[in-house]
Amino acid sequence: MRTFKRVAIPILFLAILVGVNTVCSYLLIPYTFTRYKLHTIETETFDDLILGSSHGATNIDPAYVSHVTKRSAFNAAQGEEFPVDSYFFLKDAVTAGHVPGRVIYEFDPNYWITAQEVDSTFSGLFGEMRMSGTKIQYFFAKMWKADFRTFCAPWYFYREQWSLIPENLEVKRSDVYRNYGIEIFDTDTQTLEQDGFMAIHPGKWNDQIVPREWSEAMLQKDARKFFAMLAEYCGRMKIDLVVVTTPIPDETLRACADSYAAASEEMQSLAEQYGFRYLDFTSGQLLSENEDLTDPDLFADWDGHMYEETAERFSQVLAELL
Amino acid sequence: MSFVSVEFLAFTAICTAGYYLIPKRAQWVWLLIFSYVYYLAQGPQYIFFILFATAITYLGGLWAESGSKAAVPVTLLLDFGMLAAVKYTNFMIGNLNGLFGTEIREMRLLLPLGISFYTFQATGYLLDVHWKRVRAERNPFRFALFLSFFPQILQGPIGRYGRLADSLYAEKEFDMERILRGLYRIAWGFFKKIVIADNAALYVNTIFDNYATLRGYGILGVLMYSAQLYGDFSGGIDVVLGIAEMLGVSLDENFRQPYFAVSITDFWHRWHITLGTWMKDYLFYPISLSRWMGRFGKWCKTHMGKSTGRAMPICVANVIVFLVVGVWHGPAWHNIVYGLYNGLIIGISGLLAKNYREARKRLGIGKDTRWFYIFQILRTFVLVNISWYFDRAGSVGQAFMMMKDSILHFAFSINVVDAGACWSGSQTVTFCAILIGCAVLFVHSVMEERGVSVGEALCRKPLPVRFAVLLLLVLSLVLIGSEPLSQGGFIYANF
Amino acid sequence: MDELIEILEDIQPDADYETCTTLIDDGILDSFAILSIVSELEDAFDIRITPAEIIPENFNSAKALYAMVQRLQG
Repeated sequence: MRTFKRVAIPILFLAILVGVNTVCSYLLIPYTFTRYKLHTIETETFDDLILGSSHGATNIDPAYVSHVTKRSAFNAAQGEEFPVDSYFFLKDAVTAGHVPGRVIYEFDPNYWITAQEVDSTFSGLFGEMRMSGTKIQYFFAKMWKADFRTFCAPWYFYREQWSLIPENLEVKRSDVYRNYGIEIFDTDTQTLEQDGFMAIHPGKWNDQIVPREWSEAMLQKDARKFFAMLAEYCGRMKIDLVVVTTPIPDETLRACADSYAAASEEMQSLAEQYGFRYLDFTSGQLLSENEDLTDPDLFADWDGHMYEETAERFSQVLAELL
Repeated sequence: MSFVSVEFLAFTAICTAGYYLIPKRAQWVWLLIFSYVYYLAQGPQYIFFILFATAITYLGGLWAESGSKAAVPVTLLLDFGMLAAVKYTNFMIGNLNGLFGTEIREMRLLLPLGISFYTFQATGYLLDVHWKRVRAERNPFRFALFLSFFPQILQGPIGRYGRLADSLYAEKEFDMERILRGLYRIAWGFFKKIVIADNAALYVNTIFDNYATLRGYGILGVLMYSAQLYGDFSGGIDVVLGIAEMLGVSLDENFRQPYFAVSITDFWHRWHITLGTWMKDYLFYPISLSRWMGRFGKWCKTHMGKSTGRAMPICVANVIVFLVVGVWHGPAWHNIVYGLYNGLIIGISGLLAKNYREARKRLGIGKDTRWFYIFQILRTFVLVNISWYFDRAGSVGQAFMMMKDSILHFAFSINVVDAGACWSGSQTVTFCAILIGCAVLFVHSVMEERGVSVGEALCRKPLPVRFAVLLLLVLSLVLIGSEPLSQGGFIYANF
Repeated sequence: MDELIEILEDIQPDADYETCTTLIDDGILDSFAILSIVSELEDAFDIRITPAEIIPENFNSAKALYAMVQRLQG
């Protein structure tokens, strides 16, 4: 009896803790498109898999790429997806049995010179992945050194959003959630499409240019390391790799010309080292004279997020080069 | 490996679980392995320093026991030489350059983590052997564990061989109660660190780092620093003691409700206790009892009268000790002022002790006069806060300027911090979280001060109560703890 | 012994030295008092007290102090 009590008490306590935690997670963590995108790449095979940051998500429209290339394509890029995330997304898809023919990695230099912010997306990208050996590797790569609350209680990032509980509950108990629907991601500013493309509606977000300097000192070790792992993994799995930097407004380019040039140089040297193609649309060489894709009016912000129509035009230009 | 990381919790869990599964004879070896893994994880480049200190002091201890006169000075010189070399070389170069206009290049030295703590522990052991208080350790690996025991290596408490060795090497039975006590202590430590210190850090950093533009917020800043420093350091120590408790190792307490101190002397008996007692035993007494101090005392007695003459050498020794404490806090002039300030207050109150006693008698203030007791606590708190200005400010000039502005341009606003860095973007919520944390800490401290050990009292409560308290404690980390971005490491891990 | 008690009472009057055996453990004597006592004892009994002697066992009671003094005299 005493031994039983000795073991039962801590287990009971842990059970209560886990219970409270699970309930809070269920109530507070909303349905995000990360869940949709991960589920799709874990259950479907595509010829072209697009990975990268928000620029990849909003600027590369798989429908228009497919139209030219006649290959199926899915956009799994999203805001705050760092190289570590892209690498494990690819690995997740492959280990789920859905090896893509080609990876189109959208390279946003800013992600390589900024430390990954620990926030809801940070834990969400990890949290929505299915359980697998890959996820365990992902855990050690990303969550291992993080604050324990980030891993143990990810609802922590939504702790102030108690008022959204009814809404979350309604969504989570609906068919939309069960069937990985995307209707609910339709907002005034943007719409998520079935192929993972994020269409931005007209309306200016932000015009204030905030230049960030690309320097060896700022370059994040993890970015280079996990990108190299991604490139090597593609080589090993016989997956083609193409790296793209999408166009930016000419005003931004003028303000940060040195940084973009330095970033381009860095990626170019990696391209030679790993033998992939690098399409850099910030250098101006890839866009012909009559192809105006750098007018600030074509973008929602200074940082280079394109309006839906701009993205469609750009995607066709890109597809021609692929 | 930060205390608040997934990694560290997993490391501790594996260490504790394995500890009770392996044969008991091997338990101390297990601790040694984990301690070195932990230290290596902080950065492999630091390993050389701890190995050096371990080897030198191990050999020095045996040598000292053989009765050699040279053993103690040589070993001390090597141990402290290494500490001084990594910690103070650049400070000396900087001052030389300033004084003589030379242009000696500062060296790029790495400050090995926890070096002060293990150096103090090592030298204390050596003197204990020399004074025949303990026998020198024969087994080099056991000695290595004494210097590297993983929970305490980064920020103390500074252990004494005589008290620590037995419990470190003993064979331990698994005991659920002990594990629970340890867990409670760890949770309580995290509460102090994450809810109080890391939230308060927002205010402290904003106010102290922008003192030239945010003028007059010094009092808010320094009060927040009081909360931060105590929460950070004692919270970290609680985690250390909690882990040690789970492993059946008893370490010395490092804090005893310091803000209830009735004098600065009393404060140092309650704050960073193991540093205070180390300084007292290995620096203060040896200096005070040295021959030249004895001669100085005789001179004072003949020239200043009996009681002042007797107190004079003690005061001088005190000032020297606190000078060392100040320098230990970091090689910068504001730390030296911080040390001198404490040393002078203690020295002067020592000199005037008799006058105080007589004045109190005349005013009819007995030992139990309540208002006087509270007055003493408040007075000490103010004096301590003045010292915090020097401790936290980047320079002596900054400390003085902030103090001046605190009075002449007094300003107070909880909105002084950037809303973006706050809990759900609200300064009010962050401020309330700090207040709640401090209120809980206050109640806890009052209970402990009245002789109730909160941890033990809790263990006697019915199960549901214990569960509820622990659950509340853990949930509060998530609910009112700081944002993960705003937190750094532990302050005292950098000594 | 009487001389010793006199010294103690001069330095720290608030204690009962005849019976108390926890002068250090209960914090009745702080380091300041200890060193004052040492200084007086050295003068009064013509002995030398080294740092090695500053341990609670030697200072916890008047009796222990007296024993230490006798040992150092002998």
